[in-house]
Amino acid sequence: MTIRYCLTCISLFVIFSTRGQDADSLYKAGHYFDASIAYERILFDSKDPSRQLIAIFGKTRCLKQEGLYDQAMTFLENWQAYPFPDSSLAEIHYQQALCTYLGGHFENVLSLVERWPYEHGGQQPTPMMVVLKILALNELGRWKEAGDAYHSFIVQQGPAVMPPDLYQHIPRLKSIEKAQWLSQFIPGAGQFYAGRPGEAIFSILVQTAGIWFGVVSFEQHYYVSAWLIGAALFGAFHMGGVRRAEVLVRQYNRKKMLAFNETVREQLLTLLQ
Amino acid sequence: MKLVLPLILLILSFSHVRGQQFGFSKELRFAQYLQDKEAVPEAIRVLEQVDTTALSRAQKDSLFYMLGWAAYSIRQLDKSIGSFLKVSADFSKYDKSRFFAAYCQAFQGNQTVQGRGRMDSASDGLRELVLPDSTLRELRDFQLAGIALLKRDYKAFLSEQQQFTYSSYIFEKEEHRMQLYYDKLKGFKHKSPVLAGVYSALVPGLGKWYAGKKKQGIAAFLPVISLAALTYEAYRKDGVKSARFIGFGTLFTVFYIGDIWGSTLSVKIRRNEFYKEYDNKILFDMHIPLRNFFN
Repeated sequence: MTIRYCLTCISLFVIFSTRGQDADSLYKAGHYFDASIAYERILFDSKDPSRQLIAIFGKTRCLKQEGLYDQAMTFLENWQAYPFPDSSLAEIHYQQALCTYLGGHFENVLSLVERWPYEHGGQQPTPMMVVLKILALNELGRWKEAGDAYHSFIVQQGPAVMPPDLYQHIPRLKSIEKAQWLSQFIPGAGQFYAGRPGEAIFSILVQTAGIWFGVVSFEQHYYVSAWLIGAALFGAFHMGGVRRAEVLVRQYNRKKMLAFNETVREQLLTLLQ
Repeated sequence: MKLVLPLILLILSFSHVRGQQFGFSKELRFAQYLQDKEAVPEAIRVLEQVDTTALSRAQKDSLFYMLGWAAYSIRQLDKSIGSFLKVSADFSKYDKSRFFAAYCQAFQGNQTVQGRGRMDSASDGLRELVLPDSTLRELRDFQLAGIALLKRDYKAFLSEQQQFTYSSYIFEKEEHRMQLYYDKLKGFKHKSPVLAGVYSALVPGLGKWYAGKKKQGIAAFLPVISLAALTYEAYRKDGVKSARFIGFGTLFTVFYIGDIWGSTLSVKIRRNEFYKEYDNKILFDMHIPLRNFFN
Protein backbone atom coordinates (compact mmCIF):
# COMPACT_ATOMS: atom_id res chain seq x y z
CA MET A 1 0.00 0.00 0.00
CA THR A 2 2.79 2.37 0.99
CA ILE A 3 4.78 1.47 -2.10
CA ARG A 4 1.76 2.13 -4.34
CA TYR A 5 1.17 5.50 -2.66
CA CYS A 6 4.82 6.49 -3.14
CA LEU A 7 4.74 5.45 -6.78
CA THR A 8 1.59 7.51 -7.37
CA CYS A 9 3.15 10.53 -5.72
CA ILE A 10 6.35 10.18 -7.76
CA SER A 11 4.42 9.82 -11.02
CA LEU A 12 2.27 12.89 -10.23
CA PHE A 13 5.35 14.88 -9.33
CA VAL A 14 7.04 13.85 -12.57
CA ILE A 15 3.95 14.79 -14.62
CA PHE A 16 3.53 18.19 -13.00
CA SER A 17 7.21 19.10 -12.90
CA THR A 18 7.50 18.18 -16.60
CA ARG A 19 4.54 20.47 -17.37
CA GLY A 20 6.16 23.27 -15.39
CA GLN A 21 9.30 22.81 -17.43
CA ASP A 22 7.21 22.82 -20.64
CA ALA A 23 5.67 26.13 -19.68
CA ASP A 24 9.01 27.63 -18.69
CA SER A 25 10.72 26.47 -21.87
CA LEU A 26 7.86 27.87 -23.97
CA TYR A 27 8.23 31.15 -22.13
CA LYS A 28 11.98 31.19 -22.65
CA ALA A 29 11.46 30.48 -26.36
CA GLY A 30 9.24 33.55 -26.57
CA HIS A 31 6.00 31.59 -27.16
CA TYR A 32 4.11 33.58 -24.56
CA PHE A 33 0.61 32.59 -25.65
CA ASP A 34 1.37 28.86 -25.53
CA ALA A 35 3.33 29.28 -22.30
CA SER A 36 0.31 31.05 -20.83
CA ILE A 37 -1.87 28.01 -21.69
CA ALA A 38 0.72 25.66 -20.21
CA TYR A 39 0.70 27.64 -16.95
CA GLU A 40 -3.10 27.58 -16.93
CA ARG A 41 -2.93 23.80 -17.35
CA ILE A 42 -0.84 23.57 -14.19
CA LEU A 43 -3.43 25.67 -12.36
CA PHE A 44 -6.16 23.39 -13.72
CA ASP A 45 -4.37 20.16 -12.75
CA SER A 46 -2.53 20.95 -9.56
CA LYS A 47 -3.83 21.49 -6.07
CA ASP A 48 -0.33 22.05 -4.75
CA PRO A 49 -0.02 25.73 -3.68
CA SER A 50 3.68 25.94 -4.57
CA ARG A 51 2.96 24.69 -8.12
CA GLN A 52 0.00 27.03 -8.37
CA LEU A 53 2.11 30.01 -7.36
CA ILE A 54 4.78 29.18 -9.95
CA ALA A 55 2.00 29.02 -12.58
CA ILE A 56 0.37 32.27 -11.42
CA PHE A 57 3.60 34.23 -11.66
CA GLY A 58 4.52 32.46 -14.91
CA LYS A 59 1.22 33.39 -16.52
CA THR A 60 1.55 36.95 -15.24
CA ARG A 61 4.98 37.20 -16.90
CA CYS A 62 3.47 35.93 -20.17
CA LEU A 63 0.65 38.46 -20.09
CA LYS A 64 3.07 41.27 -19.32
CA GLN A 65 5.26 40.22 -22.22
CA GLU A 66 2.22 40.31 -24.49
CA GLY A 67 1.32 43.77 -23.15
CA LEU A 68 -2.02 42.47 -21.80
CA TYR A 69 -1.82 44.41 -18.56
CA ASP A 70 -5.57 44.67 -17.97
CA GLN A 71 -5.96 40.92 -18.44
CA ALA A 72 -3.07 40.31 -16.02
CA MET A 73 -4.75 42.63 -13.52
CA THR A 74 -8.04 40.68 -13.64
CA PHE A 75 -6.21 37.33 -13.56
CA LEU A 76 -4.29 38.28 -10.40
CA GLU A 77 -7.40 39.74 -8.74
CA ASN A 78 -9.02 36.29 -8.94
CA TRP A 79 -6.15 34.74 -6.97
CA GLN A 80 -6.14 37.30 -4.17
CA ALA A 81 -8.68 35.37 -2.13
CA TYR A 82 -6.83 32.02 -2.20
CA PRO A 83 -5.33 30.73 1.05
CA PHE A 84 -1.70 31.17 0.02
CA PRO A 85 1.00 32.20 2.50
CA ASP A 86 0.95 35.93 3.17
CA SER A 87 4.33 36.50 1.49
CA SER A 88 2.90 35.00 -1.74
CA LEU A 89 -0.32 37.00 -1.46
CA ALA A 90 1.83 40.10 -1.02
CA GLU A 91 3.73 39.28 -4.23
CA ILE A 92 0.41 38.73 -6.05
CA HIS A 93 -0.82 42.06 -4.68
CA TYR A 94 2.36 43.81 -5.85
CA GLN A 95 2.19 42.24 -9.31
CA GLN A 96 -1.44 43.34 -9.57
CA ALA A 97 -0.50 46.91 -8.66
CA LEU A 98 2.37 46.84 -11.16
CA CYS A 99 0.11 45.61 -13.98
CA THR A 100 -2.47 48.23 -13.00
CA TYR A 101 0.22 50.92 -13.25
CA LEU A 102 1.47 49.59 -16.58
CA GLY A 103 -2.13 49.52 -17.82
CA GLY A 104 -2.43 53.24 -17.00
CA HIS A 105 -5.09 52.91 -14.24
CA PHE A 106 -3.34 55.23 -11.80
CA GLU A 107 -6.29 55.81 -9.44
CA ASN A 108 -6.61 52.03 -9.06
CA VAL A 109 -2.92 51.80 -8.15
CA LEU A 110 -3.53 54.18 -5.26
CA SER A 111 -6.51 52.11 -4.15
CA LEU A 112 -4.39 48.92 -4.21
CA VAL A 113 -1.69 50.60 -2.12
CA GLU A 114 -4.29 51.77 0.40
CA ARG A 115 -5.73 48.25 0.63
CA TRP A 116 -2.34 46.79 1.55
CA PRO A 117 -2.47 47.13 5.39
CA TYR A 118 -6.02 45.68 5.49
CA GLU A 119 -5.08 42.64 3.42
CA HIS A 120 -1.67 41.93 4.95
CA GLY A 121 -2.19 42.04 8.71
CA GLY A 122 -1.69 45.75 9.23
CA GLN A 123 1.77 45.77 7.62
CA GLN A 124 2.97 48.88 5.84
CA PRO A 125 3.24 48.70 2.04
CA THR A 126 6.54 47.37 0.70
CA PRO A 127 9.06 49.85 -0.78
CA MET A 128 8.10 48.81 -4.32
CA MET A 129 4.44 49.52 -3.55
CA VAL A 130 5.42 52.97 -2.27
CA VAL A 131 7.39 53.59 -5.46
CA LEU A 132 4.30 52.69 -7.49
CA LYS A 133 2.23 55.04 -5.36
CA ILE A 134 4.65 57.94 -5.94
CA LEU A 135 4.76 57.29 -9.68
CA ALA A 136 0.96 57.02 -9.89
CA LEU A 137 0.56 60.31 -8.00
CA ASN A 138 3.02 61.93 -10.39
CA GLU A 139 1.05 60.67 -13.37
CA LEU A 140 -2.10 62.18 -11.87
CA GLY A 141 -0.29 65.50 -11.30
CA ARG A 142 -0.85 65.32 -7.52
CA TRP A 143 2.58 66.77 -6.78
CA LYS A 144 2.01 67.65 -3.11
CA GLU A 145 0.97 64.11 -2.15
CA ALA A 146 3.67 62.61 -4.37
CA GLY A 147 6.29 64.85 -2.74
CA ASP A 148 5.17 63.87 0.78
CA ALA A 149 5.27 60.16 -0.11
CA TYR A 150 8.67 60.64 -1.75
CA HIS A 151 10.18 62.38 1.30
CA SER A 152 8.83 59.72 3.69
CA PHE A 153 10.23 57.03 1.39
CA ILE A 154 13.71 58.61 1.34
CA VAL A 155 13.71 58.89 5.16
CA GLN A 156 12.60 55.25 5.53
CA GLN A 157 15.27 54.01 3.14
CA GLY A 158 17.93 56.03 4.96
CA PRO A 159 20.52 56.05 2.18
CA ALA A 160 24.20 56.64 3.06
CA VAL A 161 24.35 59.59 0.66
CA MET A 162 21.22 61.70 0.48
CA PRO A 163 20.04 61.95 -3.15
CA PRO A 164 19.02 65.34 -4.58
CA ASP A 165 15.46 66.28 -3.66
CA LEU A 166 13.66 66.03 -7.01
CA TYR A 167 10.48 67.59 -5.66
CA GLN A 168 12.26 70.91 -5.16
CA HIS A 169 11.87 71.30 -8.91
CA ILE A 170 8.51 69.84 -9.78
CA PRO A 171 7.57 70.42 -13.42
CA ARG A 172 5.90 73.76 -14.02
CA LEU A 173 2.93 72.91 -16.15
CA LYS A 174 1.51 75.50 -18.48
CA SER A 175 -2.09 76.65 -18.43
CA ILE A 176 -4.31 75.64 -21.35
CA GLU A 177 -6.68 78.55 -20.69
CA LYS A 178 -3.80 81.03 -20.72
CA ALA A 179 -2.56 79.67 -24.06
CA GLN A 180 -6.06 79.99 -25.53
CA TRP A 181 -6.49 83.55 -24.29
CA LEU A 182 -3.08 84.58 -25.60
CA SER A 183 -3.82 83.16 -29.05
CA GLN A 184 -7.22 84.81 -28.99
CA PHE A 185 -5.83 88.32 -28.61
CA ILE A 186 -2.26 88.12 -29.97
CA PRO A 187 -1.86 85.81 -32.98
CA GLY A 188 0.83 83.20 -32.39
CA ALA A 189 1.33 84.14 -28.72
CA GLY A 190 -0.26 80.87 -27.50
CA GLN A 191 2.20 78.85 -29.59
CA PHE A 192 5.10 80.93 -28.22
CA TYR A 193 3.83 80.28 -24.70
CA ALA A 194 3.68 76.54 -25.47
CA GLY A 195 7.35 76.67 -26.47
CA ARG A 196 6.92 76.32 -30.24
CA PRO A 197 8.31 79.54 -31.79
CA GLY A 198 8.38 78.08 -35.33
CA GLU A 199 4.66 77.41 -35.32
CA ALA A 200 4.06 80.80 -33.69
CA ILE A 201 5.90 82.63 -36.48
CA PHE A 202 4.04 80.65 -39.16
CA SER A 203 0.70 81.48 -37.50
CA ILE A 204 1.59 85.19 -37.30
CA LEU A 205 2.66 85.26 -40.96
CA VAL A 206 -0.48 83.56 -42.27
CA GLN A 207 -2.85 85.67 -40.18
CA THR A 208 -1.02 88.85 -41.14
CA ALA A 209 -1.15 87.83 -44.80
CA GLY A 210 -4.92 87.37 -44.46
CA ILE A 211 -5.39 90.81 -42.95
CA TRP A 212 -3.02 92.42 -45.47
CA PHE A 213 -4.81 90.81 -48.41
CA GLY A 214 -8.17 91.89 -46.99
CA VAL A 215 -7.12 95.54 -46.49
CA VAL A 216 -5.38 95.84 -49.86
CA SER A 217 -8.33 94.26 -51.68
CA PHE A 218 -10.73 96.56 -49.85
CA GLU A 219 -8.71 99.62 -50.81
CA GLN A 220 -8.70 98.49 -54.43
CA HIS A 221 -12.49 97.99 -54.25
CA TYR A 222 -12.32 94.19 -54.44
CA TYR A 223 -14.88 93.89 -51.66
CA VAL A 224 -15.81 90.26 -52.28
CA SER A 225 -12.16 89.20 -52.31
CA ALA A 226 -11.49 91.25 -49.18
CA TRP A 227 -14.16 89.35 -47.27
CA LEU A 228 -14.06 85.90 -48.79
CA ILE A 229 -10.28 85.54 -48.98
CA GLY A 230 -8.72 88.07 -46.60
CA ALA A 231 -11.20 87.79 -43.76
CA ALA A 232 -11.81 84.06 -44.27
CA LEU A 233 -8.07 83.29 -44.27
CA PHE A 234 -7.52 85.33 -41.13
CA GLY A 235 -10.59 83.89 -39.37
CA ALA A 236 -9.75 80.28 -40.20
CA PHE A 237 -6.13 80.53 -39.07
CA HIS A 238 -7.05 82.57 -36.01
CA MET A 239 -9.55 79.96 -34.73
CA GLY A 240 -7.19 77.15 -35.73
CA GLY A 241 -4.38 78.91 -33.86
CA VAL A 242 -6.40 79.00 -30.65
CA ARG A 243 -7.13 75.26 -30.89
CA ARG A 244 -3.53 74.47 -31.85
CA ALA A 245 -2.21 76.37 -28.82
CA GLU A 246 -4.36 74.16 -26.58
CA VAL A 247 -3.00 70.98 -28.21
CA LEU A 248 0.60 72.21 -27.96
CA VAL A 249 0.26 73.04 -24.25
CA ARG A 250 -1.17 69.57 -23.59
CA GLN A 251 1.76 68.00 -25.43
CA TYR A 252 4.23 70.19 -23.52
CA ASN A 253 2.72 69.28 -20.14
CA ARG A 254 2.68 65.58 -20.94
CA LYS A 255 6.32 65.66 -22.04
CA LYS A 256 7.36 67.48 -18.86
CA MET A 257 5.44 65.04 -16.66
CA LEU A 258 6.93 62.01 -18.40
CA ALA A 259 10.46 63.39 -18.11
CA PHE A 260 10.01 64.17 -14.41
CA ASN A 261 8.44 60.78 -13.71
CA GLU A 262 11.32 59.07 -15.50
CA THR A 263 13.85 60.90 -13.32
CA VAL A 264 11.94 60.04 -10.13
CA ARG A 265 11.60 56.40 -11.21
CA GLU A 266 15.32 56.07 -11.92
CA GLN A 267 16.28 57.62 -8.59
CA LEU A 268 13.88 55.50 -6.55
CA LEU A 269 14.86 52.25 -8.26
CA THR A 270 18.55 53.06 -7.74
CA LEU A 271 17.83 53.63 -4.06
CA LEU A 272 16.06 50.27 -3.82
CA GLN A 273 18.98 48.46 -5.44
CA MET B 1 -1.20 -20.11 -23.28
CA LYS B 2 -3.06 -19.62 -26.57
CA LEU B 3 -5.64 -17.56 -24.76
CA VAL B 4 -3.22 -15.44 -22.77
CA LEU B 5 -1.79 -13.38 -25.63
CA PRO B 6 -5.16 -12.30 -27.12
CA LEU B 7 -6.33 -11.53 -23.59
CA ILE B 8 -3.30 -9.33 -22.94
CA LEU B 9 -3.82 -7.54 -26.28
CA LEU B 10 -7.49 -7.03 -25.47
CA ILE B 11 -6.68 -5.58 -22.07
CA LEU B 12 -4.00 -3.33 -23.57
CA SER B 13 -6.29 -2.00 -26.30
CA PHE B 14 -9.08 -1.47 -23.79
CA SER B 15 -6.78 0.46 -21.46
CA HIS B 16 -5.51 2.50 -24.44
CA VAL B 17 -9.08 3.47 -25.43
CA ARG B 18 -9.93 4.30 -21.81
CA GLY B 19 -6.82 6.43 -21.58
CA GLN B 20 -7.75 8.32 -24.74
CA GLN B 21 -11.30 8.87 -23.51
CA PHE B 22 -10.00 10.16 -20.20
CA GLY B 23 -7.50 12.42 -21.96
CA PHE B 24 -10.14 13.79 -24.33
CA SER B 25 -12.69 14.55 -21.63
CA LYS B 26 -9.95 16.20 -19.61
CA GLU B 27 -9.01 18.41 -22.55
CA LEU B 28 -12.66 19.34 -22.94
CA ARG B 29 -12.92 20.20 -19.26
CA PHE B 30 -9.72 22.22 -19.50
CA ALA B 31 -11.08 24.14 -22.49
CA GLN B 32 -14.32 24.78 -20.59
CA TYR B 33 -12.28 25.95 -17.58
CA LEU B 34 -10.44 28.41 -19.83
CA GLN B 35 -13.70 29.64 -21.35
CA ASP B 36 -15.17 30.17 -17.89
CA LYS B 37 -12.15 32.32 -17.10
CA GLU B 38 -12.81 34.32 -20.29
CA ALA B 39 -9.58 32.99 -21.84
CA VAL B 40 -11.43 32.06 -25.04
CA PRO B 41 -8.52 32.34 -27.54
CA GLU B 42 -6.57 29.97 -25.27
CA ALA B 43 -9.54 27.57 -25.15
CA ILE B 44 -9.71 27.59 -28.95
CA ARG B 45 -5.99 26.77 -29.17
CA VAL B 46 -6.48 23.83 -26.77
CA LEU B 47 -9.46 22.48 -28.73
CA GLU B 48 -7.70 22.89 -32.08
CA GLN B 49 -4.73 20.90 -30.83
CA VAL B 50 -6.86 17.84 -30.00
CA ASP B 51 -6.01 14.96 -32.34
CA THR B 52 -9.37 13.97 -33.87
CA THR B 53 -8.21 10.85 -35.70
CA ALA B 54 -8.76 8.49 -32.77
CA LEU B 55 -11.97 10.10 -31.50
CA SER B 56 -15.42 8.56 -31.68
CA ARG B 57 -18.20 10.36 -33.57
CA ALA B 58 -19.79 11.55 -30.33
CA GLN B 59 -16.46 12.92 -29.08
CA LYS B 60 -15.88 14.74 -32.36
CA ASP B 61 -19.34 16.27 -32.13
CA SER B 62 -18.65 17.54 -28.61
CA LEU B 63 -15.32 18.94 -29.76
CA PHE B 64 -16.71 20.70 -32.85
CA TYR B 65 -19.69 22.07 -30.95
CA MET B 66 -17.47 23.49 -28.24
CA LEU B 67 -15.01 24.90 -30.74
CA GLY B 68 -17.84 26.48 -32.74
CA TRP B 69 -19.28 28.05 -29.64
CA ALA B 70 -15.92 29.39 -28.43
CA ALA B 71 -15.15 30.89 -31.85
CA TYR B 72 -18.66 32.36 -32.02
CA SER B 73 -18.23 34.04 -28.63
CA ILE B 74 -15.20 36.01 -29.86
CA ARG B 75 -16.67 36.62 -33.33
CA GLN B 76 -14.32 34.35 -35.26
CA LEU B 77 -17.27 33.55 -37.47
CA ASP B 78 -15.52 31.60 -40.24
CA LYS B 79 -14.07 29.21 -37.69
CA SER B 80 -17.41 29.06 -35.90
CA ILE B 81 -19.33 28.18 -39.10
CA GLY B 82 -16.79 25.50 -40.05
CA SER B 83 -16.99 23.85 -36.63
CA PHE B 84 -20.78 24.03 -36.23
CA LEU B 85 -21.30 22.49 -39.66
CA LYS B 86 -19.09 19.52 -38.74
CA VAL B 87 -21.48 18.49 -35.92
CA SER B 88 -23.37 15.34 -36.94
CA ALA B 89 -27.16 14.91 -36.91
CA ASP B 90 -26.96 12.38 -34.05
CA PHE B 91 -25.60 14.97 -31.65
CA SER B 92 -28.04 16.33 -29.07
CA LYS B 93 -27.20 19.94 -29.94
CA TYR B 94 -27.31 19.46 -33.69
CA ASP B 95 -30.25 21.84 -34.21
CA LYS B 96 -28.63 24.55 -32.13
CA SER B 97 -25.36 24.14 -34.05
CA ARG B 98 -27.16 24.44 -37.39
CA PHE B 99 -29.18 27.48 -36.33
CA PHE B 100 -26.08 29.30 -35.13
CA ALA B 101 -24.10 28.25 -38.20
CA ALA B 102 -26.87 29.72 -40.38
CA TYR B 103 -26.93 32.92 -38.37
CA CYS B 104 -23.14 33.28 -38.66
CA GLN B 105 -23.38 32.65 -42.41
CA ALA B 106 -26.08 35.29 -42.75
CA PHE B 107 -23.97 37.73 -40.74
CA GLN B 108 -20.83 37.01 -42.78
CA GLY B 109 -22.80 37.14 -46.02
CA ASN B 110 -24.10 40.57 -45.12
CA GLN B 111 -20.58 41.89 -44.44
CA THR B 112 -18.87 40.64 -47.60
CA VAL B 113 -19.27 41.47 -51.29
CA GLN B 114 -19.80 37.82 -52.27
CA GLY B 115 -22.35 37.46 -49.53
CA ARG B 116 -25.32 36.13 -51.44
CA GLY B 117 -23.85 32.63 -51.73
CA ARG B 118 -23.32 32.46 -47.99
CA MET B 119 -26.86 33.59 -47.30
CA ASP B 120 -28.15 30.94 -49.70
CA SER B 121 -26.12 28.33 -47.81
CA ALA B 122 -27.63 29.61 -44.57
CA SER B 123 -31.17 29.24 -45.96
CA ASP B 124 -30.45 25.77 -47.41
CA GLY B 125 -28.94 24.60 -44.11
CA LEU B 126 -32.02 25.69 -42.18
CA ARG B 127 -34.45 24.12 -44.67
CA GLU B 128 -32.68 20.76 -44.39
CA LEU B 129 -33.43 20.54 -40.67
CA VAL B 130 -36.11 18.08 -39.56
CA LEU B 131 -37.73 19.83 -36.63
CA PRO B 132 -40.33 18.09 -34.48
CA ASP B 133 -41.16 21.13 -32.36
CA SER B 134 -43.58 23.77 -33.71
CA THR B 135 -41.81 26.66 -31.93
CA LEU B 136 -38.52 25.57 -33.42
CA ARG B 137 -40.15 25.40 -36.86
CA GLU B 138 -41.47 28.94 -36.44
CA LEU B 139 -38.03 30.04 -35.30
CA ARG B 140 -36.65 28.59 -38.53
CA ASP B 141 -39.25 30.46 -40.56
CA PHE B 142 -38.35 33.63 -38.68
CA GLN B 143 -34.66 33.17 -39.47
CA LEU B 144 -35.47 32.44 -43.12
CA ALA B 145 -37.60 35.58 -43.25
CA GLY B 146 -34.70 37.59 -41.83
CA ILE B 147 -32.31 36.16 -44.42
CA ALA B 148 -34.82 36.94 -47.18
CA LEU B 149 -34.95 40.57 -46.02
CA LEU B 150 -31.16 40.74 -45.97
CA LYS B 151 -31.20 39.51 -49.57
CA ARG B 152 -33.99 42.02 -50.38
CA ASP B 153 -36.05 39.07 -51.58
CA TYR B 154 -39.43 40.49 -50.56
CA LYS B 155 -41.41 37.70 -52.17
CA ALA B 156 -39.56 35.09 -50.12
CA PHE B 157 -40.04 37.22 -47.01
CA LEU B 158 -43.81 37.35 -47.48
CA SER B 159 -43.88 33.60 -48.02
CA GLU B 160 -41.99 32.95 -44.74
CA GLN B 161 -43.94 35.61 -42.92
CA GLN B 162 -47.16 33.61 -43.56
CA GLN B 163 -45.88 31.18 -40.90
CA PHE B 164 -45.57 33.85 -38.17
CA THR B 165 -48.10 33.27 -35.38
CA TYR B 166 -47.08 36.29 -33.26
CA SER B 167 -47.93 34.18 -30.23
CA SER B 168 -44.61 32.94 -28.84
CA TYR B 169 -43.07 35.17 -26.19
CA ILE B 170 -39.63 34.15 -27.50
CA PHE B 171 -39.92 36.04 -30.77
CA GLU B 172 -43.28 37.80 -30.86
CA LYS B 173 -41.75 41.29 -30.64
CA GLU B 174 -39.07 40.43 -33.19
CA GLU B 175 -41.73 39.14 -35.62
CA HIS B 176 -43.54 42.47 -35.39
CA ARG B 177 -40.30 44.37 -35.86
CA MET B 178 -39.34 42.25 -38.86
CA GLN B 179 -42.66 43.24 -40.43
CA LEU B 180 -41.81 46.88 -39.75
CA TYR B 181 -38.39 46.50 -41.38
CA TYR B 182 -40.05 44.98 -44.43
CA ASP B 183 -42.38 47.99 -44.69
CA LYS B 184 -39.49 50.42 -44.35
CA LEU B 185 -37.26 48.64 -46.86
CA LYS B 186 -40.09 48.18 -49.33
CA GLY B 187 -41.14 51.81 -48.94
CA PHE B 188 -37.64 53.19 -49.39
CA LYS B 189 -37.76 55.65 -52.23
CA HIS B 190 -34.95 55.11 -54.71
CA LYS B 191 -33.64 58.51 -55.68
CA SER B 192 -32.09 59.24 -59.03
CA PRO B 193 -28.35 60.04 -59.19
CA VAL B 194 -28.97 61.91 -62.47
CA LEU B 195 -31.62 64.10 -60.88
CA ALA B 196 -29.27 64.81 -57.93
CA GLY B 197 -26.61 65.90 -60.43
CA VAL B 198 -29.08 68.15 -62.27
CA TYR B 199 -30.22 69.74 -58.99
CA SER B 200 -26.60 70.47 -58.02
CA ALA B 201 -25.96 71.95 -61.46
CA LEU B 202 -28.88 74.35 -60.91
CA VAL B 203 -28.17 75.17 -57.24
CA PRO B 204 -24.85 73.97 -55.78
CA GLY B 205 -25.43 71.54 -52.89
CA LEU B 206 -29.12 70.99 -53.73
CA GLY B 207 -28.38 67.49 -55.10
CA LYS B 208 -26.91 66.44 -51.78
CA TRP B 209 -29.89 67.94 -49.98
CA TYR B 210 -32.18 65.93 -52.28
CA ALA B 211 -30.15 62.75 -51.57
CA GLY B 212 -30.83 63.24 -47.85
CA LYS B 213 -27.48 64.70 -46.86
CA LYS B 214 -28.60 68.19 -45.86
CA LYS B 215 -25.51 69.29 -43.93
CA GLN B 216 -23.23 68.22 -46.78
CA GLY B 217 -25.47 70.19 -49.14
CA ILE B 218 -24.95 73.39 -47.15
CA ALA B 219 -21.23 72.65 -46.82
CA ALA B 220 -21.00 72.28 -50.62
CA PHE B 221 -23.11 75.39 -51.33
CA LEU B 222 -20.91 77.85 -49.41
CA PRO B 223 -17.52 77.34 -51.14
CA VAL B 224 -19.06 77.09 -54.63
CA ILE B 225 -21.06 80.27 -54.16
CA SER B 226 -18.05 82.06 -52.66
CA LEU B 227 -15.88 81.09 -55.60
CA ALA B 228 -18.66 82.13 -57.99
CA ALA B 229 -18.77 85.57 -56.34
CA LEU B 230 -14.99 85.93 -56.56
CA THR B 231 -15.03 84.89 -60.22
CA TYR B 232 -17.81 87.37 -61.00
CA GLU B 233 -15.94 90.16 -59.23
CA ALA B 234 -12.76 89.35 -61.19
CA TYR B 235 -14.74 89.30 -64.44
CA ARG B 236 -16.50 92.59 -63.71
CA LYS B 237 -13.37 94.48 -62.64
CA ASP B 238 -10.55 92.89 -64.66
CA GLY B 239 -12.19 91.20 -67.63
CA VAL B 240 -12.14 87.71 -69.10
CA LYS B 241 -8.43 87.64 -69.92
CA SER B 242 -7.21 88.63 -66.47
CA ALA B 243 -5.17 86.17 -64.41
CA ARG B 244 -7.51 86.82 -61.49
CA PHE B 245 -10.57 85.77 -63.48
CA ILE B 246 -8.82 82.70 -64.95
CA GLY B 247 -7.56 81.63 -61.49
CA PHE B 248 -10.87 81.99 -59.66
CA GLY B 249 -12.80 80.75 -62.68
CA THR B 250 -10.75 77.54 -62.75
CA LEU B 251 -11.22 77.00 -59.01
CA PHE B 252 -14.94 77.64 -59.31
CA THR B 253 -15.24 75.16 -62.21
CA VAL B 254 -13.40 72.46 -60.26
CA PHE B 255 -15.58 72.91 -57.19
CA TYR B 256 -18.77 73.20 -59.24
CA ILE B 257 -18.15 70.01 -61.22
CA GLY B 258 -16.91 68.27 -58.09
CA ASP B 259 -20.16 69.11 -56.34
CA ILE B 260 -22.24 67.72 -59.22
CA TRP B 261 -20.21 64.51 -59.28
CA GLY B 262 -20.39 64.27 -55.46
CA SER B 263 -24.16 64.68 -55.57
CA THR B 264 -24.60 61.75 -57.96
CA LEU B 265 -22.44 59.60 -55.63
CA SER B 266 -24.19 60.78 -52.48
CA VAL B 267 -27.44 59.14 -53.66
CA LYS B 268 -25.73 55.76 -53.67
CA ILE B 269 -23.96 56.46 -50.37
CA ARG B 270 -27.23 57.44 -48.68
CA ARG B 271 -28.94 54.31 -50.04
CA ASN B 272 -26.11 52.10 -48.71
CA GLU B 273 -26.29 53.81 -45.32
CA PHE B 274 -30.02 53.20 -45.15
CA TYR B 275 -29.64 49.50 -46.06
CA LYS B 276 -26.74 49.08 -43.63
CA GLU B 277 -28.83 50.53 -40.81
CA TYR B 278 -31.70 48.12 -41.46
CA ASP B 279 -29.38 45.16 -42.03
CA ASN B 280 -27.92 45.72 -38.58
CA LYS B 281 -31.41 45.90 -37.09
CA ILE B 282 -32.47 42.70 -38.86
CA LEU B 283 -29.37 40.80 -37.75
CA PHE B 284 -29.81 42.02 -34.19
CA ASP B 285 -33.43 40.87 -34.10
CA MET B 286 -32.53 37.53 -35.68
CA HIS B 287 -29.99 36.98 -32.92
CA ILE B 288 -32.16 37.68 -29.86
CA PRO B 289 -34.65 34.78 -30.31
CA LEU B 290 -31.78 32.37 -30.97
CA ARG B 291 -30.17 33.24 -27.66
CA ASN B 292 -33.50 33.21 -25.84
CA PHE B 293 -34.57 29.85 -27.22
CA PHE B 294 -31.34 27.88 -26.97
CA ASN B 295 -29.88 29.29 -23.75
